[in-house]
Amino acid sequence: MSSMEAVYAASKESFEPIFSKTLQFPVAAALVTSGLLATGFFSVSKNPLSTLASAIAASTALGFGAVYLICAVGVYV
Amino acid sequence: MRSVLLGGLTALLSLPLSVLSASASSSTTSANDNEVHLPETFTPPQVFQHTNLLRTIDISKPYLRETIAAIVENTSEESQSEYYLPIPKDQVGKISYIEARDKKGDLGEFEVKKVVYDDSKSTQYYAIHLPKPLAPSTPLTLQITLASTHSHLADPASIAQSDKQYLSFKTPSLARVAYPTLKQKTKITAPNSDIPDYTKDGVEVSKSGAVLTYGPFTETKPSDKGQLLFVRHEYTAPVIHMTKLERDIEVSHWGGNLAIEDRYWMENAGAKLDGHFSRVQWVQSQYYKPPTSAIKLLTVPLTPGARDVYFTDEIGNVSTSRYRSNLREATLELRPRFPIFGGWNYSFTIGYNYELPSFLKKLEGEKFMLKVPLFEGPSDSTVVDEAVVRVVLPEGATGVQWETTVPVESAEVGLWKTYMDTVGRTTVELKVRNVVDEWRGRELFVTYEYPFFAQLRKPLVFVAGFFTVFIVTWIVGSIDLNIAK
Repeated sequence: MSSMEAVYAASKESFEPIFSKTLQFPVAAALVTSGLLATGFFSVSKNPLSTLASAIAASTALGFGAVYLICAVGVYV
Repeated sequence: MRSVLLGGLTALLSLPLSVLSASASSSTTSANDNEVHLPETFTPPQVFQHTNLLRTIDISKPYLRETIAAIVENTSEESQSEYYLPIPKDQVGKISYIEARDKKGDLGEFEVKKVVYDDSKSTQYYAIHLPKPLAPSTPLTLQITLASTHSHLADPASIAQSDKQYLSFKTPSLARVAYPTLKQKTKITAPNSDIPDYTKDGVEVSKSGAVLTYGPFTETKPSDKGQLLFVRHEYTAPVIHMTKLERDIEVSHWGGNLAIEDRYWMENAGAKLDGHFSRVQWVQSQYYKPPTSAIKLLTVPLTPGARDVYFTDEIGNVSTSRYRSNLREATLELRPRFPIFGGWNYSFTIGYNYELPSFLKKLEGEKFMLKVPLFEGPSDSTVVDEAVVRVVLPEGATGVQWETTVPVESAEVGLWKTYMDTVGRTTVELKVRNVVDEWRGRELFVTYEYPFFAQLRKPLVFVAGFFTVFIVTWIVGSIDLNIAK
């Protein structure tokens, strides 16, 4: 048995993704929807602080949502 | 306020870029670990002799598989740990692998390295390292197995559509060894008993079914070549030859997926088709399913769990494929658009996905180890002249190390840009020559470090992009464009 083979056999912890393949589309849909809602809030907000907060929330939700969406359609990035 | 926002935006955008600069740089490693350098005047010291030697040549595949089983005795007065195997210079480029092991003892597999000494010499050598030096007058049962490609010739070179196919090959009657041999035999195993021509004159030979046995030959020296043997035998299967194979193994942590794509450039290296192809005659003959020299079906066993399987060629999707899978096995049957006769070519692509957790383990810290089959080609007897296996790791993976039992010609760690990448994904590209079907199931191990922040790079780049759009929109919306107040 080679050295790496022995290490692999000894390791008990398998890699687990944050969301399994079956959950990728629902997660992506939820994140993109939240992002769009936050975008709507951003467009009507008058207060600079709430505008900034909604921009951060929308871009975070859309950013993570985009990654899960592209994975959900079969382009595994 | 505006300067604060712009400062914050710049800082956010610079976050992923600062991580990118720490990503893997390109480097090259060669297969020098498989070589041993000796002086130009090197000749193997005469410290061994073979008490008995049996050479078995298997010609039932599209490549030659030769096994030398010998009782080796140390005739010197000191312990010896290096055994040298001579190979003619013109054969070196055709060698697929050379493996050696202790057949009866408990020493297991021996390390085999190519000797680099004088390129102009007609005989080159491989060094077999015995892990435990062989004491004087002590015997060792050594088994050497070597495979070499491009050793057969179609004879005749062209045949009609329904004719039988015959192959021929030549080999010396004595084993190529660097030490004297007291007694040896050469056994040739054909695919079936239809061997219309083989050397009978001037040499002791017996035929039993599909096996020809030449010898015994006694008291032979290393310089003795013996007689050149010629064997012409029927070969009922197509001679499948892949001139090139490109295999991509793509790891996605975000998708939890292992994507594999194999691109083959295949040719039938058997007897060429004499005259035109008759579809009517082909369809009629298929009713009886006779042996044929044409490639009409390839069976590719996959690891259970393969999904999203596809089979395409230059035209597009090939619908004449069948994929069957259950918990224990997964088999992909490929039927090309037309039967591939001798001299014809066909290039195609197959691809499939696996669940990443079945192949990737987490080691200590931020280290991961991947274990994948190096080759997963057709189960039919095949030879691949040149294979390029590229393992595409996630973007930002560093500290890449790999290991496999297959002799690799060269390896390179680099970068490859594809969807949603900024600097590109870390890749390991392995080049292997003269791949034979026996290597199916050999594993490739790759370890790499994937820091937490590098894992966040992809979504963070998107987040920064969206945030930029929001801020620009906000700034543009805040500009007072009224002419009069």
